[in-house]
Amino acid sequence: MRIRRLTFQNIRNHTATQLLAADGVNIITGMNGQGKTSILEAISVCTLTRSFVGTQDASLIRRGEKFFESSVEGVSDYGVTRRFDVRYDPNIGKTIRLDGSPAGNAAQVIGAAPTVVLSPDMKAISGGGPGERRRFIDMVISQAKRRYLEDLMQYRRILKQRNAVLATGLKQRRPVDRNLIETYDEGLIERAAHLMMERTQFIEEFAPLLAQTARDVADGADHVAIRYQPDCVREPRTSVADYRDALWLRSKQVFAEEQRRGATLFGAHRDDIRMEINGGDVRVAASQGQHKTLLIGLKVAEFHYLARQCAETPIILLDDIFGELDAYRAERVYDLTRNLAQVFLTVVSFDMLPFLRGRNLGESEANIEVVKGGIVEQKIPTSGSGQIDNEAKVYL
Amino acid sequence: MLHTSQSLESVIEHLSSLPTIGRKTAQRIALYLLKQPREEVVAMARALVDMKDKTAYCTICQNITEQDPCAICQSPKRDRNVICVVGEPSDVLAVEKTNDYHGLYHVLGGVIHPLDGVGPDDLKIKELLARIGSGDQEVILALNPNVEGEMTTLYLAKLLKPLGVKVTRIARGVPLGSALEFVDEATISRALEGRVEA
Ligand SMILES: [Zn+2]
Repeated sequence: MRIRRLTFQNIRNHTATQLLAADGVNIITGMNGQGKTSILEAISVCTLTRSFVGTQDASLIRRGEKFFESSVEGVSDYGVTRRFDVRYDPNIGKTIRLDGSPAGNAAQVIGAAPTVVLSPDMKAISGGGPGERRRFIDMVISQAKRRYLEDLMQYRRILKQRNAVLATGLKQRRPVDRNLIETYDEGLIERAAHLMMERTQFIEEFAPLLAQTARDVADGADHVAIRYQPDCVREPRTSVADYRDALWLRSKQVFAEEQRRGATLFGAHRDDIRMEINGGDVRVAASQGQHKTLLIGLKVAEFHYLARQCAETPIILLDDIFGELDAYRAERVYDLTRNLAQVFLTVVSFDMLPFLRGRNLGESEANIEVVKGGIVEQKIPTSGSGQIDNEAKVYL
Repeated sequence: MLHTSQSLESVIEHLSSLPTIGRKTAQRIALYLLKQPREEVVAMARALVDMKDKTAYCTICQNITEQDPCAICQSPKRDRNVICVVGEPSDVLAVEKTNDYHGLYHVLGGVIHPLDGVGPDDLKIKELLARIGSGDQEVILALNPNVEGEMTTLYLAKLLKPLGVKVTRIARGVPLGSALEFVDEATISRALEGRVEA
């Protein structure tokens, strides 16, 4: 997928912004707080149906405005034109359109233009708690498999309802309706078993990719492994039915405790994904520098996984990562991603890309300068793709 | 922004408490009503009060009615051995519009939704169980195809099956996440036709 045009309104400090993208690397420059990241968020709103920064939709709306909207026009690897439109109005909710037709839910859109996002906060994937790693793999698998995202959304909903049944029982000090709790058990376990089997398969395919990319990024210095640690069982199982049986068994074992605590104590929301570096748990064994390279390794592996599963080249969004990397790694990341896909990256100034010094932007590179929520100047090299306007200037 | 008339303000307040009506729309409706002839406004006010005074819940199917039992429950043309269970009275209208269903109904008055504080005891479930006799009955569960509808369907099936009644649920022709009342008749017809054992 290559984005040709991005148009959005009322996202953060932008009023109305249009950007014509270059096929290769789009370097978005500007001082802090001017609205560089918002451009990446606007892309994410279209292709992932929400911002990659874990904020509520409402907080994306420009102050004083009542809605935001964002549209992406692009071309798939097979040359098909694709269009993504997302509009959010707190009174109406989110309206998502794919190629002009309304999409029933996010799952119908996510994955059509797979998107890999890299921002410094994501070091939490290797450094943070199990929830961070679940969030990471959920986002990757959701882009690759529509059914997964549907199961996941339903799972979360049923979990909330089941927790409400347990919490109400606790508060009112009376035993919960057994038929009712078993109903939620059925709903929950059915989804959990599928989610867990998908996670098992994902880690099986992802582990060798990660081992390879982590080696590449660290110049062969680090050995990285990733293992799935599902709830209820010691080792990953090989079928949905196996997971289902294990979940049922556990649900019966923990029920008394669940009533005492008023919360669900088994299921896919309790899975962990263990990551190891040179044989030790990354959370204790990895240095700050290793967490950085590990994150790049994870994201490059995600790119390869999605490219294969979706049969579509993902778009890469690099948010403010170049300040975090030494000059050598920065150049490695730049060259690596540039050769893979269309890239959108934010950086305060070209000073942070010293390897570009003294060379002109290539045919498929563009510089977009952002000031106070508007694009001041967009420089696209003259011999760029014919579909992109030269020197497009958008003033506000 | 407060209007200079307290009575106008009061109407706007009432209107904006209605579902899907925001304050702006409420203002537009109130000012429109103000321009209408007095008789028109009186007729509307009377209609509202009449509706409140004259309607009740049918003691059999729990649908909204002016006569008890309701016209559907009384009709000799209806197949008394089939009961279609729906969430809201508006769902009865949606299924009736298909002209394909000739059994009776049971309106639960919602679906199980513990997050919103709605448990089985808050719905007309006991009344449904009381309608199951010894004959050759079928209960069709036609709740909205979202998580709450599905969980309510599972729960009802758990209670109904031991009573020896045939329990089916409508097929998944209805798009996931949509409300029955907004689905077109043809889709509901197909979903009723293709119902499966619950
Ligand atoms: Zn009736």
